[in-house]
Amino acid sequence: MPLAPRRQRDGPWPSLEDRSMPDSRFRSDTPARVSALQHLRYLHREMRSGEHRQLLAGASPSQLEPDPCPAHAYQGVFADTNFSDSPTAARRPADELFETSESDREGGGIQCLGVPPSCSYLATGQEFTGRQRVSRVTSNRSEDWSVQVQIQDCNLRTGYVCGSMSAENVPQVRAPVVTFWEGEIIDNVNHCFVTGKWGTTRLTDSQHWRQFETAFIPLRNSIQWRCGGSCNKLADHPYIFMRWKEQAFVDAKEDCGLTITGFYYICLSRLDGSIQGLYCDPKSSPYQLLELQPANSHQGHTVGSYQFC
Amino acid sequence: MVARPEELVSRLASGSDPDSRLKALRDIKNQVIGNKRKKRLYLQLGAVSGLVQILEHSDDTQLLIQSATAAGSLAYGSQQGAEAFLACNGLQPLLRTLWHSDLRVVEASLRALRCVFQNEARPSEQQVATEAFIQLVTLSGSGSYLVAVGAARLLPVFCTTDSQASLLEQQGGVRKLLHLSHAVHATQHEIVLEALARLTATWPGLMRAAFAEDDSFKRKIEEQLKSPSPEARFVACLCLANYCQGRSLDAHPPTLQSQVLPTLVRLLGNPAVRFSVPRCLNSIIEGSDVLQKVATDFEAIPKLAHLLHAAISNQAALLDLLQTLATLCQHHEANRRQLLTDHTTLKLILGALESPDASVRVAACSCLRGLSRSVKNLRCSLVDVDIAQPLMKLLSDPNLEVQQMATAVLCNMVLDFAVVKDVLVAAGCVDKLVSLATSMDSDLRLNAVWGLQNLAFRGSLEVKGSIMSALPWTTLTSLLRDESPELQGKALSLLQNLVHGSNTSMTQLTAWTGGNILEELAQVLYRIGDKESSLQEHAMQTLGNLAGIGGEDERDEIINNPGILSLLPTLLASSQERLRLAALWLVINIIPVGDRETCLAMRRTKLDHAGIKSIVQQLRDTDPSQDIRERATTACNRFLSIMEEPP
Repeated sequence: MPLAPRRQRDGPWPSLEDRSMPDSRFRSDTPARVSALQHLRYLHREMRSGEHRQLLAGASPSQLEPDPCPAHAYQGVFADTNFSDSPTAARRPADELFETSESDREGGGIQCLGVPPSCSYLATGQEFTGRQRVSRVTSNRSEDWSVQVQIQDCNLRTGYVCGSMSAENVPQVRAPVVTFWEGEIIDNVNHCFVTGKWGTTRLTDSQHWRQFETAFIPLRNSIQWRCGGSCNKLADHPYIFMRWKEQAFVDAKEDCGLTITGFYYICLSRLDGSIQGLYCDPKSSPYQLLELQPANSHQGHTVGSYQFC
Repeated sequence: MVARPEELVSRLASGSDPDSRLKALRDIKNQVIGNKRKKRLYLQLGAVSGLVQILEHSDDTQLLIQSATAAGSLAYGSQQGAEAFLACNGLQPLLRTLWHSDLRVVEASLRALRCVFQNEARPSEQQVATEAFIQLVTLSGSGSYLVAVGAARLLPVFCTTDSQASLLEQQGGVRKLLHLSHAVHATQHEIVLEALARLTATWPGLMRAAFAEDDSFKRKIEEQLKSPSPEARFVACLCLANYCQGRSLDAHPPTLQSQVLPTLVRLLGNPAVRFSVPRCLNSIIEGSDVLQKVATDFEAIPKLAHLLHAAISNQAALLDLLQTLATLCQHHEANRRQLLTDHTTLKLILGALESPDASVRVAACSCLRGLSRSVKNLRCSLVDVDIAQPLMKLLSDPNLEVQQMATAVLCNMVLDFAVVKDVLVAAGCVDKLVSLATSMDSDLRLNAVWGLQNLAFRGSLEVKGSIMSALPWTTLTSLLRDESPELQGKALSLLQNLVHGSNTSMTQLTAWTGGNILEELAQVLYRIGDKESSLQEHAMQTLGNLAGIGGEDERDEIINNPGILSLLPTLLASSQERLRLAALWLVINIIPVGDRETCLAMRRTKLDHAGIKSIVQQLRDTDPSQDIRERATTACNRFLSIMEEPP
């Protein structure tokens, strides 16, 4: 049984369901200013997630714990062929939450796992500007944070990317909050779709990646969720997927009232360089949306370069 | 009652009674052993001259033995004594005694030679006649183990040239040493192996010859890795390291990874040899990612870092430690992070920047250079320590190598995301880098321009302005014509970064260049042709940046430049993907969004005539690179916005 049907929408980017909470990057012990309507929606989400938990109670521990992200997808694929899950095995309730992909079932895709090719927008020196929607519940967008992101290093060979993120208009903080983040490029070699850390499960990954509807849906039947989440269709895909994890505050202090315990699921459009991200933190409200565009995209694209000596 | 020193020295003269001379020699020898004050006194009294006289003219065995021993004692532990002996031309008479029929004389002479050359000093090939060197090799095969071991110890000292190394091999020196290592007891065995290790450190081929000559030798050395003596284990590691030197990883014995490296790392914790180990460790892991990984898996970094604390006053040990840590941190982020786990380690490295020894300063810079090759470290770790001040001081160091390495560190430290950048700029690094950019030394010049390039990358308007103020446009144009293509590339990248991003003022740029930037770039493209594709790429990217940040005038100037316009189709069709990409971005930037009214007529005509529209269409449809196809799609969409007919 597939995941619950989702509304299909047109346009290059998916529209996310109204499921986020305001100021969710605040520490849980920080009193948040939440409207009554927001609170009701939050309680509703909690109830829904409670149902999920009940459903998952029947699943085996291996399905609830995060999978290790394989260093090489090939290992994962080979491991898949030895899985005890034979096609005839009875499917457990939690299996219903995952759409078992064709590759999962076939254990195939070994030969044609593709690495995403280079992209001008995923390059050192590239700057993005946009906003983080901390509250999609109210129509008042003044609560959104203005965000600037700079890519400071990018190594496609190792699937590594890092940079800084500067957020303005953050409640209770006057100066822009700058963080340093490190990212993983989903490339089938160094990193796959299953995060395998930071408190995530395959379910968390699946739920978040699927929010990037236009970008992700063409891939969903090709992802081998049970062996790290490798995918054989990344090579020509018009989107690049990443995870960005904030590592440290640069200008703000640790007690500034913000938390960086979570991470972003990121989807970059190769064609125009626009980025969508979803913040994931068990302690924060889910599906906070990050929307970015290449800086100065309407003036012109400039390229800078530096090399470590 | 012992006579006064002056009297003893006077008795050494040739006219004295032989018994009196012998007694004087014994008295002098007994007095100077372990007594630095007496050594200085006898050196001042000219005793060495008397000793050399006896060695040169006497035939008496006892006199020769005692004079050689006394000369050795005066030289032992005293640089002044060794120098005085060589200044009195004592080497030749001492070498002549190596042919003496009485082996006791030979043994004493060998000991004296070892004392004279105990430090880094080595006799030149001219000082050691071929016959003397051959005699030394012959003596290493002597029936007297004391003589043989004494000669073996001297072989690494006297073998200083390739021809001597060949002679050693021809005379069966390696075979003799192998034979000796099997024959003598444990302590002497280590001495012989150490001699072999020192010898083969410079000529690893000798060790390979030794391994090829005797199958059991390698096995015995590998067995010695398990010896209870740390010195023996270390010497075995040295021999195996020399054997592997210059060979590919496949040719290494499996014990190198499984036994030698773990043994060496463990020996870092052994007080007997700990300071000798880093040099050997570095010689093994340098240039091999795999071996560096093995060493770090065995926790080499924390042990080396721990040793740094103990070696703070030992400059030689500090040098080896810093060099090894620098090797480990050059390419591996995990190693850098491991080294910076303990904040005090960084302070020790920074302390070494002020070492009186120039090579230690270079090694400390090299270590810092490795640590600074990381965005994360520059952002988060190299933050709250005072790096700027000692680094800026080293830019004016009297030692050229120190200057070169300090500039290399600065290249990384001035990057936009380096927290220490602002302090360096405030300390005047821009002016300093600009002055070094015109240095006579090509490496220093390269590093300085590299530093300016990195400084300009995403630099603020003020930083870019200060670079333009300090660096005259004419200097930059001369750097663009430097004889080194690498430096030309850095100078072009500097220019590219100055016109990159939103922090660029066209007014400032035009004032700096005198409006000649376009002409200069066209000249660069014309001059380099297709010889240096990376230079072409930077030049095209700079043009693209100009089109991106400039206004209508700049874009019109670019498209009206016949040289650039005629080159554009060639570059769009280049076999180099990066060149095609740079050319495509230029095309995209020439046709900015919302530019319909102003650029329509003139640019469309120009692009049509140059055949660019069709090339871009072709790139969109057939280019093997996805990035190129996507950018070509963007360019086609831009064309659509200005063309009457869709492309």
